[in-house]
Amino acid sequence: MLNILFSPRWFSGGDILIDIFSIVVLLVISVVTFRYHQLNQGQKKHIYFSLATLFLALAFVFKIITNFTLYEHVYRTFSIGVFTLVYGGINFSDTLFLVGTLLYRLFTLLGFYLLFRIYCRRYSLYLDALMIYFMIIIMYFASHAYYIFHLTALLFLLPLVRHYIINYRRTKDKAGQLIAWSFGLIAASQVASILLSIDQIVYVLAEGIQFIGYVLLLLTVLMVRFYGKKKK
Amino acid sequence: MLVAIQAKGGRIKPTHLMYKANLSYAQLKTYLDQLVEKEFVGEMENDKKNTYIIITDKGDKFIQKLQEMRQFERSFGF
Repeated sequence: MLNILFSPRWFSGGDILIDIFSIVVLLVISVVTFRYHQLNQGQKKHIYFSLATLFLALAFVFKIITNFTLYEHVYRTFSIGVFTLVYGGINFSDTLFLVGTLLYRLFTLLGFYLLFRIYCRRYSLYLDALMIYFMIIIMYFASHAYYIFHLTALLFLLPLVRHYIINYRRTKDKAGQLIAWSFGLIAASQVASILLSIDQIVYVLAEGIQFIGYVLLLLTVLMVRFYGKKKK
Repeated sequence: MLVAIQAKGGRIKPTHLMYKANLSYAQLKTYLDQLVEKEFVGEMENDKKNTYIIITDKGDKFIQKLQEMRQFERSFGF
């Protein structure tokens, strides 16, 4: 739905490339953090982080699938006597599109919630169940008001950005600074997504900001690996 | 223990390791057996028949991964 309404025609395909790049970055982080979990199985934060990034990567996969559904060209044949007419058209698969969009939203919110959950000190099973219930409600009702979904994602991201800024101020760690910037930009892309209805260019802006956010996140992982080797 | 061996250039005498890691002989033996079993360290003798504990490539890589993990935890504020 977002692409029909908000994506400029010249940008179609560009957003898919950005999403593929985001998937690669998220999968790299997921694999890296899973390996850290294998090293230190007592620390559950690694496995949560790995799961969260895997969910976010899955969300982008579903987002891409919905894009492909929209751009699918279908050729039909029609016979009149001895003549066979072939004509092309665009086939909209509403069910697939709807399921794809819902899963994109569900996995995005689950991913951001898991990240939020890592740093949230007060939590309980009841709170988790309640949050998942609200996420499903939001995911469904966001079909009528898309900005609710982005607003919810932003609400999960803001405490994360705050945590990363505080952490950077405390440690003065350069990789930590990049993390604060990258999550800040990912949050900013959600703000831009809320304002999609203003102009089509806002969609390009949101995707662009998201791209820079994930580039910084990739740089962070590379820096962490570099520091690990340097300390040898 | 691995860090202590690495800090000494990758090889250390058992007695020195015992002091560096602040372990008793019995503790050292237990942990050392585990590290040998995991192929993180090995034993070697030099010309003067002194026994040294050496860190293997696998042990080296393990420490590197551990340092990466700690850096990750520090950067992400775990």
